[in-house]
Amino acid sequence: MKTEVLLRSIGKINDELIADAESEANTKRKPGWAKLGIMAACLALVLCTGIAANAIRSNATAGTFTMDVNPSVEYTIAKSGIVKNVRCLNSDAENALSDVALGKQSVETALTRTVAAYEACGYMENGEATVLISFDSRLDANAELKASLSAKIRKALEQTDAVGTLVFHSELTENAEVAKIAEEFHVSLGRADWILTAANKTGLPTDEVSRMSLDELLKFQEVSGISSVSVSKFISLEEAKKIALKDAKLDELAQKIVFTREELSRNQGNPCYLLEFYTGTNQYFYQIDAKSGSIIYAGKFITLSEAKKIALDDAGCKDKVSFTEETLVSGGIKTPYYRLVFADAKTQWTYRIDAVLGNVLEKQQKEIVTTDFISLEEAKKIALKDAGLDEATQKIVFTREELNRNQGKPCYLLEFYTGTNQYHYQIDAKTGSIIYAGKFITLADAKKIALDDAGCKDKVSFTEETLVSGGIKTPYYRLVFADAKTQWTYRIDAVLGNVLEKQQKEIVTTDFISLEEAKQIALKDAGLDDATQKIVFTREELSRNSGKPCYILEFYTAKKQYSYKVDAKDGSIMEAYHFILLADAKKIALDDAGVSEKVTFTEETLVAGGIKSPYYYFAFESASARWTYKIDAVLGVIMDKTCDKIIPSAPEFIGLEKAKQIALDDAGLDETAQKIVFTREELSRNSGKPCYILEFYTDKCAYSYKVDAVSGDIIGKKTDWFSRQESETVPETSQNSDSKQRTDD
Amino acid sequence: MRDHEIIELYWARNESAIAATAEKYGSYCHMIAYNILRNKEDAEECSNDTYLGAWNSIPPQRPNRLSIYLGKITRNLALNRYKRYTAEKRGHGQVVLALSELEACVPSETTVEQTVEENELAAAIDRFLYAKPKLNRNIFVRRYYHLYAIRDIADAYGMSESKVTSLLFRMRNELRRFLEKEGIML
Repeated sequence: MKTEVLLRSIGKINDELIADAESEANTKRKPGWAKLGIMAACLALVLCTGIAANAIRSNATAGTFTMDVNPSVEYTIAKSGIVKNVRCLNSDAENALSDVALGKQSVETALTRTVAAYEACGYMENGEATVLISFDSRLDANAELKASLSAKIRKALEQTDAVGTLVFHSELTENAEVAKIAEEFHVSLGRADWILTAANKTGLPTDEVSRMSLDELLKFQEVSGISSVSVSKFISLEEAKKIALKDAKLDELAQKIVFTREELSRNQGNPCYLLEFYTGTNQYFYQIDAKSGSIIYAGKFITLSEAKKIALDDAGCKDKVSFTEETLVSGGIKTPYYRLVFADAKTQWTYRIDAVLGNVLEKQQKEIVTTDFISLEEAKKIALKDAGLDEATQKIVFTREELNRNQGKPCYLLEFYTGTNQYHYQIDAKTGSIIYAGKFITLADAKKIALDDAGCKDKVSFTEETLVSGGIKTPYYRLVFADAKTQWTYRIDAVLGNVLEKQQKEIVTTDFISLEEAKQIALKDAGLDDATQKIVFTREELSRNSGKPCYILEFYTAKKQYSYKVDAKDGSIMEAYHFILLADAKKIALDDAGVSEKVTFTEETLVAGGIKSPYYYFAFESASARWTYKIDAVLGVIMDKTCDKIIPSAPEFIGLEKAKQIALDDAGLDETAQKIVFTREELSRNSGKPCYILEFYTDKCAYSYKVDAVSGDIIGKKTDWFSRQESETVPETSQNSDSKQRTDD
Repeated sequence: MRDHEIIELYWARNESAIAATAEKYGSYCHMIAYNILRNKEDAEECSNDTYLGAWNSIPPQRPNRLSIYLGKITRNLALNRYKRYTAEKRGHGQVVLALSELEACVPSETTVEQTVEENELAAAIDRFLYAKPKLNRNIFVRRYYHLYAIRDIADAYGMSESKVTSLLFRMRNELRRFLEKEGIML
């Protein structure tokens, strides 16, 4: 069994992890007196509660409300407002809530626990779940209690961050048909009412409608009868990006900004957008609150290449180096820094560079020394001596000679055999001490022991011959062999040659229904006849569903597509889906998008098999836009869609700062040595070619430059001397910084 | 007695090694076996089998941490015993719950063609756990290595049961994704 393999593998995890868990929990355990104190306090509370006379009155039932997600659960509310009792309406709710204490809790606590259990069981996963709350007629009549309950429910569900839409439903009228549906499908009366409305509108049978999700059912309800509340409205990613860019004083139009991370995270309490981006000169990290749009964290760092340059300059190394670590450490309480580790042939440097200021925070330098291990031959000699063997007097064959690491300790792994035994050694590569030594019988001997014990006389074939050693168990050979009728499994002690375990089983053939029979069952259920219409089977497979053998059948006709799972033993139908055709679903999406130009589909998937309604997922794009669609595979209705405009990507620009530096270098100016005032810094286009227009002056001269925004070439410049009234300029033809200046007309 | 002294007794084939082990680690082994079997007598027998397992395997083994080494033997013995009992429809305890919870971690695909050695899987789980925050890591180990009940873990860490459940749920999902990323299909 797969999970058993996993459970046993967890049994082999590193000792450190186990020791760590044991030591930590011991320190966190509450002291005994604290527990006694808590128990005493609880006892006192219970006594006080018992004495209070009005508690009996307040414990009387005020009414019930139900909560539907996919699981349905009913809460009975006492007059005091607390949850008196809870009843699971379907098996999903029972599974999720079996171990959760919900009775005698406040409404907030009960709902919070319910949602946590649903999340744990996977019923509410993406934080956008739709929840239906239905009040019974008693609560509906008590306006005051209903209002206070509604507020509490909304507050509790808001705090969970798991709910996208919350809908309150009132059961104003008694309806026998609704009650019947509720009983038949194990749902609340509210949901049953929705099912009835949807069935009436679509004309579909109620059992088919009952499989729809709340989202789908919601679409068929009368808008007037529903008070729907959007609980967790997040700002969009684009808005979050705008906030970050505004804070960083960056403009996407003026310079190239590359986003490397755009993620909506829910892991740290408050949902937030994690944004990472860089420009030509800096890297930026932002955490934006997804609800309020406030900035939780903002970081502006130097780029990695700059940090590396600072470290290399400081180390003063001239030989070729290779970096083994380049990490940006940020987010904690310390100053963010780059950790850089690099080495040449003789020396290794470790640097911590301040990621904001570019200072060297820490540096280490150490000479690289070669390790002094014992040689392989020495290791072999140690092993042979320990085994009492002499290469000169008998034949010894080495099958493994390897320098390896055993939990960080370098060691030689040696395996060899003689005519009678096999040996396994682990020799410490530094000290030469023996870490592990094993002497086993040979495989041939082990097989002979097993065959003799089984007493089989017919010809057998071995399907497994494994030596299992190195763990905590006694080393053993695992042997599996069979003749025509019987299969044997043996575990033979690899040291002593004893039989540790044996199993014997008769080989039997399974009695499944045939594929043809399964196909007939599926076709009959679908109401199809292969004699009268064309039916194309695209999948015919004998498979297993949770350990149960079944036939998976997929086929289509001119109108519909079908998917079936038929029990391979008794022929019962385990699963049946009738879908619209892929082509029809695509047409629905394209018609809705109203696209007239040519489009390319990048994804066409049928998503089925989960607890949600099956749907087709399409992604397609034209030259100007990209669409995604989710089309209900049964009803053909659009469940979800998005449309994004495609913006042609900008060419890679050198950045304003680099352009300024090029201009200053060309003018022979140094910002640190004299005052330079820039009056124009603009990214513009010259005959369709993007360029930076820069104007600046010093105390002697005014300059005007045009720098190619992609290549960095100077494509025009002009100089005006204040004192000599000279004016120099260079035309746009092939100029660079060291070209001669010519007088302008 | 110190661990290395007990190990030396095993290596010297001195039977007092077993008494020393029982005295120092008897209750520890009993606790691990009891978490799995939920039966005092069975847990006691498992502890005794553990000492025999240690006697058989030391030498050639020379464990670094005797407690963990014994714990692993006990866990294996108890799981084997549990398996035998469930085959006889008599089992109960935390194993069924833990197994059903882990079901979702195993990347399941009908195209699976090869199985992965337990050691490789254990190494992958090691890597996964080392990359997690200490608290999450330890809670995971206590649930799926020691097989403690959710309630016991919640008590030990001063957390609510639902918080522990949610944390484990997230970790199982992460483990499933991690194993898929590592190309491990069971």
